[in-house]
Amino acid sequence: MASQLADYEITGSVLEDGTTPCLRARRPARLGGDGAPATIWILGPLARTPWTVATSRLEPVAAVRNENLPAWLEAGVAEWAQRPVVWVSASTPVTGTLASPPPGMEVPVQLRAIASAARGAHSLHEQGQLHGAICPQAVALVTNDGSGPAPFGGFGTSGTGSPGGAVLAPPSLANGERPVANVGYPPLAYMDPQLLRGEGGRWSDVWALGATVHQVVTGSAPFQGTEDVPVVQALSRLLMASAPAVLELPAPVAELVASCLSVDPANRPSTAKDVADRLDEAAAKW
Amino acid sequence: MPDKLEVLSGPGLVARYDDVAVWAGPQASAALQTHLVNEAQRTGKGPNGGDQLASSLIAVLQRGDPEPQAPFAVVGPGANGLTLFLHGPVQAWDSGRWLAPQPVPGWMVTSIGRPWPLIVLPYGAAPPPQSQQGNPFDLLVGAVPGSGFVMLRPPTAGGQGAAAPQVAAAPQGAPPVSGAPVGTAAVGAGVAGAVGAGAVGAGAAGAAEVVAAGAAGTAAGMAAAGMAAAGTATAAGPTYVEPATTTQAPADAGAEALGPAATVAGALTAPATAPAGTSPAGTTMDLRSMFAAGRPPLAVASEAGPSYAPGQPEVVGVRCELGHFNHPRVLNCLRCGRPIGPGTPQVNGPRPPVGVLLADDGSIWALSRNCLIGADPGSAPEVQSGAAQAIVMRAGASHGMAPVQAEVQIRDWSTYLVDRGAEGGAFLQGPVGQDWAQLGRNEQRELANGAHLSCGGRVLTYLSAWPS
Repeated sequence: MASQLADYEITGSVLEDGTTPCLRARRPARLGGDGAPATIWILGPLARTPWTVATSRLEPVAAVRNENLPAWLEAGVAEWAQRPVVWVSASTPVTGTLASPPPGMEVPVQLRAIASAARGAHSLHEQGQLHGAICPQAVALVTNDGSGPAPFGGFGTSGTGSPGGAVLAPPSLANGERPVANVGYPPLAYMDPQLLRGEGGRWSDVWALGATVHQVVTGSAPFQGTEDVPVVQALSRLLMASAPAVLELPAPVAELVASCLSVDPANRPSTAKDVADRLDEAAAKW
Repeated sequence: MPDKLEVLSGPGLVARYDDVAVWAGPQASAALQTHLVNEAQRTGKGPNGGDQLASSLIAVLQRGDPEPQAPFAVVGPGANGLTLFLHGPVQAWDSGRWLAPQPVPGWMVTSIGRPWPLIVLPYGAAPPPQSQQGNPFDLLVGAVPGSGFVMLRPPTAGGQGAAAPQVAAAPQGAPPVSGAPVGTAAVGAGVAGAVGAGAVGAGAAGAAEVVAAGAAGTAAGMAAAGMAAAGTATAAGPTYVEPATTTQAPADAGAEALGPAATVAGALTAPATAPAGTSPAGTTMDLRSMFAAGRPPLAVASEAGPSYAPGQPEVVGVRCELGHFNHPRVLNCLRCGRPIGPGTPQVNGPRPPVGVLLADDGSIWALSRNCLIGADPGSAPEVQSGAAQAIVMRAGASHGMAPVQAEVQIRDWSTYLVDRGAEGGAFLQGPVGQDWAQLGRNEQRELANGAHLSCGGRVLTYLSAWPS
């Protein structure tokens, strides 16, 4: 891994699944903080996301200040892995994501982390912004004070969206402009078919939150068969899908997930905040 | 004894009421100038008039910037010395550095101690010549024409010698009259040094262009966000209406996101070298002080109608029991999943998206309208009129891509690839792997579900959302 991106010193990788690297870094001196930690997300190759699109999407998103969203620093274009990429940095130190939660992280704690992310999504929605890329990779776990990995059980224990819980990673750059999505991130298994059809809205993020809970609780995403088949086939299935295959879920979350994944958006929870509140309740009952 | 305020001759307006001074450039509307004068009068007598006036301006700007290209400045007492608010293409010298708002958000506010001299000028304007010692020019109260001002130590505050302004000699670097690359690397850094590093040279036009473009970008973003009205503009022109409650500055909610030097917005930095959104290589965009106001919350599902409905052509289809409009051959509603029996009567309705185009770079484009594919389809009349959407694609290796290379047309429920007559043409391949076939000039062929189309060395796959 390169040790430098723009003038940030890269100290490690939080998650690198080939499409959405999330990097640990130190801030350059020009940003102050004496080498304080930062997190950098690679949002995509420049060829896919022109800088003009990225800026028009990131400006209003960055204007939304919320403890459940990253504390944005800046965005830019730089060479990464021999290609120009669009990146965004935040001063929020991320230690991991729900795509690969730390060993021993209990399900209720993970549910609270999703609740924190849901509150971040809600704050975006209230400012007219769709996230469009909620999935386990987007639920970024953070430390309580930036000094080191958060203790297990310390994630979101307040149940009120504590900064020590999780923040919602940068949104999809695709949704502010066309195209409606990009293959790869978020994985198709977490994408609301309505979003793919160009009818995305707040309900699409609610769908994705439900799919993320499904993954955390069952170990698999709904819409089985979208990851092991050619993308064209997977997309076709999603476009014509009527309902996902929802596994049998434990009682505290069964109804919530089922409603989030309703084919009819009107039957889903009205807001991401509703999802967050119900997740906290479910975590308490777990 | 209040500071001495020398007005610089030229277009614009300078006003002073007690310890609050404002400048507005000639680009500012009469409504804006009046608002600034009234606000200066209102806040001038307060203990922290500069803070009060800055807060009221921020509250307005948070809901949408009615005049992003209008330069103005406000200075007055604040909790930490003088509070300086700058908006638009304006610059200020605080006896240590030149300050100017970044193109985005287009304004800044900061505390500057008690500098003498403090110079406020249009962005890119050369600093005034050194003021003559003992000159009597001093605006005590009221509003007068002026292209800027110089605020100096009170005449009695240290004898004539101490009052001698060092205007001409003060800047360590030239004022940011050029478009030299001083901005992007200077975010949050020592600004005077950054400016001094390379701010000499090109004319003011370049700098003005930078700011104007940035401001335009902000305005465009706001317009896109539906903030054009934002409750502050009227048909007669923009008006500045202070909201009932003064809101916090946007960055306050995320103190961690602020750089150490930034007070509210627009970090203490030289103007960016290029507007955000136009210059990729090595460019950064400061996100710490972004603000956006007035964008309405997203609709909840129960309130939302189909996003495709407005202006969509009518086609024949069927409705589920909830009224969702579908392709006539579906068995289940694609929106709510309810079954639709074979005998359901066919009716006319607005056509929903017919499917998607999956591009070879992984981007997915919903097909609700015709699409123009090319290097610059946005310039086509169909796109500008809203009748078609643009799919911008760069040419593949060893290929060329015309501004509009191909078109995907939707008629009823069917989708067609149309050759637009550009060199290189358009190609079609069936869903089961037939050979590529080049379309004749302006020929059109129907796309089957799973068919591939190619132009300019790029490939897109059509996927239908409906049964064939």
